[in-house]
Amino acid sequence: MADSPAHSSDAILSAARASLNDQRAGGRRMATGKPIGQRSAALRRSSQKRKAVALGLSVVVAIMLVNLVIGLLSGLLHLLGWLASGAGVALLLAVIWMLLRDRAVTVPSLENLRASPPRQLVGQTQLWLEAQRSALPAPALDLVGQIGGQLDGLALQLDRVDENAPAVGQVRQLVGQHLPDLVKAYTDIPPALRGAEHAGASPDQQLTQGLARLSGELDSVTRQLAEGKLDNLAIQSRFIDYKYGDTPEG
Amino acid sequence: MATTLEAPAITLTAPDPVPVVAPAQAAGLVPLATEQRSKLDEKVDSFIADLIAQDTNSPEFGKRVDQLTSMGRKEIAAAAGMSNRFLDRPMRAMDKDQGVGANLIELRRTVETLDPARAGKLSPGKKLLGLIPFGNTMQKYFDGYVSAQGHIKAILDKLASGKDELLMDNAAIDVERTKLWEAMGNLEQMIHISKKLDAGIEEKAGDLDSSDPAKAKALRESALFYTRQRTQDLLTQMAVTVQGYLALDLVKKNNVELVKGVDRASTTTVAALRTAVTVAQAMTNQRLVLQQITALNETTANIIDSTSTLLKEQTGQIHQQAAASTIPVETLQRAFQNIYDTMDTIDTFKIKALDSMKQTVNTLSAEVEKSKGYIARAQGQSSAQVAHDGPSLLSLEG
Repeated sequence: MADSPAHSSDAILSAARASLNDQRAGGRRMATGKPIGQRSAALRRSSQKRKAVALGLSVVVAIMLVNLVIGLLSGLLHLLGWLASGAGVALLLAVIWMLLRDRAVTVPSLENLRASPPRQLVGQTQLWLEAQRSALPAPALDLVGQIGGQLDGLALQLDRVDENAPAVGQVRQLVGQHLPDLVKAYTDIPPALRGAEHAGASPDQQLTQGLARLSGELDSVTRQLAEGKLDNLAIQSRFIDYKYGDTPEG
Repeated sequence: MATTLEAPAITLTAPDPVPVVAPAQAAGLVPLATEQRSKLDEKVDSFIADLIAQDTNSPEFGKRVDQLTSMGRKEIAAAAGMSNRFLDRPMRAMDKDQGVGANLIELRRTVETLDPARAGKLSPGKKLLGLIPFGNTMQKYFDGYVSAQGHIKAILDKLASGKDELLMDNAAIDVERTKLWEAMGNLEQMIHISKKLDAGIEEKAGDLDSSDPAKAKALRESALFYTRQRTQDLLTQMAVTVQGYLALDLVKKNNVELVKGVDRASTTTVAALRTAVTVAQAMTNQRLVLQQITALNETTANIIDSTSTLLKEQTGQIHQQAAASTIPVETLQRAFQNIYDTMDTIDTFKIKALDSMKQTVNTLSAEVEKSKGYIARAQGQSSAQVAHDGPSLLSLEG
């Protein structure tokens, strides 16, 4: 009787409520469409810009070609030629729009992700995570959003830190390896089995727990990277105390 | 009368080297508050109760034991990072080739060229036939001051900025020590936990000996074994950290002494130059104008607040003596002797301080090396399980 609808009504109801809330908030399309961080957003923007420039150039070339052909013709054909070129331009614009809308940026593969230099790693990981979102359960999605924000903070720190600092190696491992490995291990599981209990917890739970841990670790790494700056201010104020304050020197 | 010019003797004491801190002595150096203690005890009690409740063959029991093996991972790693940093700290002030040390040597060299003892017998000269000045060695001697003043000012300026560097160094040490103190407090808490666990598990195993000998054995062989190992790791790290903490204090004390030395060297130099100005006036009736030095008088007095009163008093005495004394050159020589005394004191101090420092760095390097083995083990164990165990009962942030 365990499978009877009456027995699992609570679960069904709560799932329905969650689904309703989700849809009200814009649904999965909305949640998974937005970039999770500024770095990935910037990567998307720059990639769109590059594509737009390339397409724009090809449009100009196409128009010039059309005009060249038209220039060779004359008389009545002239007017017809202009109409044809107008139609051609409209068609090209439609193609551009289609191309820009979808897959504006290439999502890195795991291998490329790991090979990217520390400063670009964060943006790449954000892009990769965004691409995985459609496969992740709802609570993990929230965490991925949170991690996206944390990665932005981390990227700001990384920009100002020496690439050989010990913490940078830690970031590499965390952002380039442990985080994607965890998500990949989850997405490798057939969807039907992701809710079933295995080794003490369901894959859904394990993923969520793992992501929460990693989120905590990201926090502490970011703090570690900022420590030099925090120390610096403390040292300066202590020095000023020594030099101009009432405390005896040294 | 002339003896009143003597400045109070300066003593610079080199601190003793930091002794080796044995792991067994390391615990208890940072006091824990009573409420902290009872909170930790509660944690330990609930952990032990939870551990005993598990079947020793179940994965849950294994999970609890895993928590024991990685107990204090973060605390150890944090403290280890800081102790290593001490070894990177250059002994800036002690360095012979640059900084304060080099500037002091240069100052001494320049001052020696002005030493009246080297100038031979100074005489104001005579006037040949009552008209042509002749044999005025005094005049020549004091001319040396005019040409040397720029150089001396530059050295004294460098010394002043060197002093700032030393103060900055000490500020950095202060911050580092505050952080080390926190790290030691955390280690102390973990040591308290692990010792308490040791006693608690031992006791429970004793209770179970008759009723459930198999469980008692499992407790001793896994939980108790790892707890003891972890206690050792924590104590080793604590010993190294305490030693680093004490060593930083040594560097700071050295710097304080050196700052005193630099202050005194600057003061005595300026005093000697002032004396020269007065003596020149008294003996040759020439007005020795040392513009750069006059400017320096003001700045030096401002920089060295602690010694500026001394400088003022001395100047008053110099004026009196130079005017009253029958042998003003002797006054000048005494002023130079003051500079030499100061520099000799600094030199002896530096030799002793360097020795203490070397010993301290050696012992600390050896201890850090020893503790690295433990840390590697601790990190190897914990990296395997970072992702999957829940918030540990034994972590401090709970």
